[in-house]
Amino acid sequence: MADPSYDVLVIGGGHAGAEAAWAAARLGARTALVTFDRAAVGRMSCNPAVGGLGKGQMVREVDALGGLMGLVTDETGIQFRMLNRGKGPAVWAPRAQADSRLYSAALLRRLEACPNLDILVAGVESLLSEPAARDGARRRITGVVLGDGHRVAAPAVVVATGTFLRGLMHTGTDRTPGGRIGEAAAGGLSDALRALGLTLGRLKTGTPPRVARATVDFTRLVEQPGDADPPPFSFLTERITQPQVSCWLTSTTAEIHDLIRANLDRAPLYTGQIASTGPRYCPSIETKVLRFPDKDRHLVFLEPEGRDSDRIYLNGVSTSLPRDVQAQMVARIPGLEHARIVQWGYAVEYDFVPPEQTHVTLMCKSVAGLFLAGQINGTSGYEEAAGQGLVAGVNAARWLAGRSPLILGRDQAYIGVLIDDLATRGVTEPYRMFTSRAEHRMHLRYDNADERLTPLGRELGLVDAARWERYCAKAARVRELLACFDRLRHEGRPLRERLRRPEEDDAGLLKDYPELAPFHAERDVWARALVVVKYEGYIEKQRRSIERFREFEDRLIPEHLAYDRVPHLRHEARERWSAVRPRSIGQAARVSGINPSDVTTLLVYLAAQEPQGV
Amino acid sequence: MNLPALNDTIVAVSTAWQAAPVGVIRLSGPDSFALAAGLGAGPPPGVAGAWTAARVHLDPEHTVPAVACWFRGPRSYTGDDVVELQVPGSPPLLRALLDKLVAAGARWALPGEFTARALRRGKLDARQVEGVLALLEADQAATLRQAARALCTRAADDRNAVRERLLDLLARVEAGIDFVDEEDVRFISDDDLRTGLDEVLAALTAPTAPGPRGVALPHVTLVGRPNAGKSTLFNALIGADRALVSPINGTTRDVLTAEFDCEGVRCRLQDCAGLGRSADELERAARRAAERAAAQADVVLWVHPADEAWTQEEAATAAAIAGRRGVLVLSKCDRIASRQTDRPELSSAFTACVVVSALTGAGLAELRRALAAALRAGSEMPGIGVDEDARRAACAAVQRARAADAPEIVALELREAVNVLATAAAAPVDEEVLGQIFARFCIGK
Repeated sequence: MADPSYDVLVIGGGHAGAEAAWAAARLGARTALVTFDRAAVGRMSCNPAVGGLGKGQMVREVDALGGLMGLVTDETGIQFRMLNRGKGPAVWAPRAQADSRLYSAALLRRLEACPNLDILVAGVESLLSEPAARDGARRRITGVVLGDGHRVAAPAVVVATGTFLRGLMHTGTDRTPGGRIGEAAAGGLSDALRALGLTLGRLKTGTPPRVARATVDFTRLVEQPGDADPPPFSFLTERITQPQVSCWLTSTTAEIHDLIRANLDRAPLYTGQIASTGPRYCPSIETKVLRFPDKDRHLVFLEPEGRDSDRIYLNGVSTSLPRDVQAQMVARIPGLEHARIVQWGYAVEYDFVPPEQTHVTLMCKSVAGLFLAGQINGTSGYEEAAGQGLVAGVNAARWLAGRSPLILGRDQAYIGVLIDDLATRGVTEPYRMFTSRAEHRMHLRYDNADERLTPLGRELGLVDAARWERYCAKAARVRELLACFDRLRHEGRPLRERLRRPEEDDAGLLKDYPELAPFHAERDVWARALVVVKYEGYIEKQRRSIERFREFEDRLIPEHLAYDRVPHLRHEARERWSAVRPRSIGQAARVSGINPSDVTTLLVYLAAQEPQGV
Repeated sequence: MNLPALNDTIVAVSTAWQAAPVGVIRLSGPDSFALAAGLGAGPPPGVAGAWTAARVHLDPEHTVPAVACWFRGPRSYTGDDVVELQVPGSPPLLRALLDKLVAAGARWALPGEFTARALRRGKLDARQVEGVLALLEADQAATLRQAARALCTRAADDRNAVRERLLDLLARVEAGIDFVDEEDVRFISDDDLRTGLDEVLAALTAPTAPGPRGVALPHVTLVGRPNAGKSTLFNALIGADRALVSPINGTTRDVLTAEFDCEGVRCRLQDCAGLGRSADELERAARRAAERAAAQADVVLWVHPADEAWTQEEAATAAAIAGRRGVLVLSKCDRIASRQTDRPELSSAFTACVVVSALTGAGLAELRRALAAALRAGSEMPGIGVDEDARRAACAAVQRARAADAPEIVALELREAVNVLATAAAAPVDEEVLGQIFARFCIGK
């Protein structure tokens, strides 16, 4: 019997793998998603939260492109909040707690219902390839070998294995191979990637203990309710209707810090047992205590893992301390004196593929047809994974069809910033998105993700008719409302001008102009038009700056340019560019160690290589 | 890295930066016609490549005669709309006009930028590429020289200090945006932010503000063993007794500098004083100073007493740097009976060799001419005005930040200020900002 074959095979059913498989299948590629465990699809291995600053915008972008994360979060979220409400809408970002069990189930249900998509329950032991001289790569992927020895043929493979590559979990001196608690590691795949000529690095991340809800004394905690009537993540969701739950706040104490300090000789992070780099923005409690000795408390957020779940996630005390220390620590946290730990905190070390080895299309430079997405590229976070997954899935399908790749610009999407940073700069710690990473933050807003990306998603074939119609209708309403702001007068001046006053609020406005009420009821329309008015000057300024530099982004560099043949180029520029092989002049300029003269030299050289003419 | 845009309007003086009958200011870019017209040189004629005689405004009361040549793109040197303004070639006048154009929205052109634009738009023959690239490399070397020099100046220190302060403020504002739901820390209060911005504004507008004009002037450095007569020569050239503030050799390691006008070319003269005492130390120090000077100076004046022999080391060092626009000055010729001074063999490695006596004034006029010629040889002064430009842009951005109340707007403006003050080698701003945040605040759940 011939081996089963697919167009696109996705390894891993996490947040990157799910979006990759969905996108590829939607574009018509016969797709298989391979996962160890069907029930583990879409599992939230860390805290059950989606969104946040930069991340919330990315979820909106995935949604605007027709992806899954926004819809599934809206469906299974149990607490929604809009962060930064106190600041201007340009930096608002949605965040939600999801019911992790429901989230996983809802995602699986959608994948199972997706045409062109099979879910295979298996491990992948090895990758199949053959020599190739295509797209500058040395080899070409042809399929995978499953754990049971069966081969599956596929000309495009997306590896989205998260922390599973030679995953090693640490709790105290205990070391357990595995990518996630209770799940095995993927060992063979690391060797397979190395055999393909890829260099592997190692990173670390961690997770806190979970406690049983019934054993928490909530009377001693500060309640953190969600927003009333919160705005949803997906552009397709009208309203969040399911009941919301609260989170709770407590903190560590000086006594706990002493306990931790007294046990550092058993902390894998400080005994040398863990050598790889963890994220600066997500330090373990032992790191917090050590690095900021003057702080006598650190916040602990109690986040329920689900509406009916008995598990509570202790956000803020990620740790790999030994179990007895974890137990003493938790017992000293106000409100948790009698809490029962149902899952110990642990640190996990895993292999990643330093992302300079990957094009901005997410295809490996040296292996045609091999795409990498998510934590394997050195990122952290569900949202970062989902964004990459979607791009990798689209590009796998488009590459097979011989079509031009999807490359999101830094001025187009946070996902574009993310992938450009990865491919251009590489990572030194697990990469997380922050809004400060985006030079065009005023433009990359949560409210306009659809305007930025839905037309593109439509063009790609990811956006269905229903979403497209909704998008067009909304865009028309926004234009109408903006026209109203110009037409209506306030003290003889266009209403638009009154709206720019910071103290202006909706209630006062609707009282004076009742005709605006229908627009106000359409929340997305209202929010968008108001942002446009309030930030007019800044948005325009940012647009001009984007225009000014567009030529750099649009100016492509021949993929196999021999930098050592470019005369008068500095040695360092030659080395850096040969290693990164930037796609555009814009990307070339962002490579570290490059200065403006190098770029000018390259531009002049490229101009001279082309046929003359304006 | 701050990459210059490809499609804005750039301006530069395209003749040598010196007193001359005519100086040419060149504008290239979409706004060049409007900018020239705004100066009073317009309106542009309908015919391509035509010229108009006009008077351009220096200020409301004063105008100067000018000839404007208008080239509509793509039929121009760069392919952009180009205007060339011919005005009297006085450096202060050229400078004032350039300042006006920059204030109106033009950007100081970077070295080689006109040519690079021309080439990219296919306006130059491919065979010329090699030459252009070589020029760019030379420009880059000049820029690097300037950068190396900039690292050693007080102004650069100030500029970096201002940038660091801005980065700190930006990091705190950014932390307040990105880490709003995390630890219970207050990153910066409104009052502290205002105070911080006021301090920065004061520093940016102080007399010793970052990027004063002098940084961009070509540097001339006096090099040579102690007692070679450098300080005397320094005073003779600038026409003042500046060097006498430190009359005893070896008492200070300060570098004396003064701006002066050499035959119409404005430059900054440096005298490296206090090189050491023991013979060995003296050798080493002299060599180090010479090397440093060679790395930083546009012109090196190597001063050697006419009546003293050269050590091997001195000769080797002198020969190594002579090619870099070096002028050999044989000093104290009054101590030699005969006017016939032997010119050492290595003098041929220098662009000129002049025999002087600062005491009698002999040869000084010849030295000024030789120095001016050497300065003109490297005339198109790299980056002149760019520092001033940066200071102004930073100042404006900080003022806008001061006036804004929304943190996202403050961050936007501060980021612009931090960016314009960055050197080519600076790390990406977002990395610097995140680095500061993580170093300072306990962040992360």
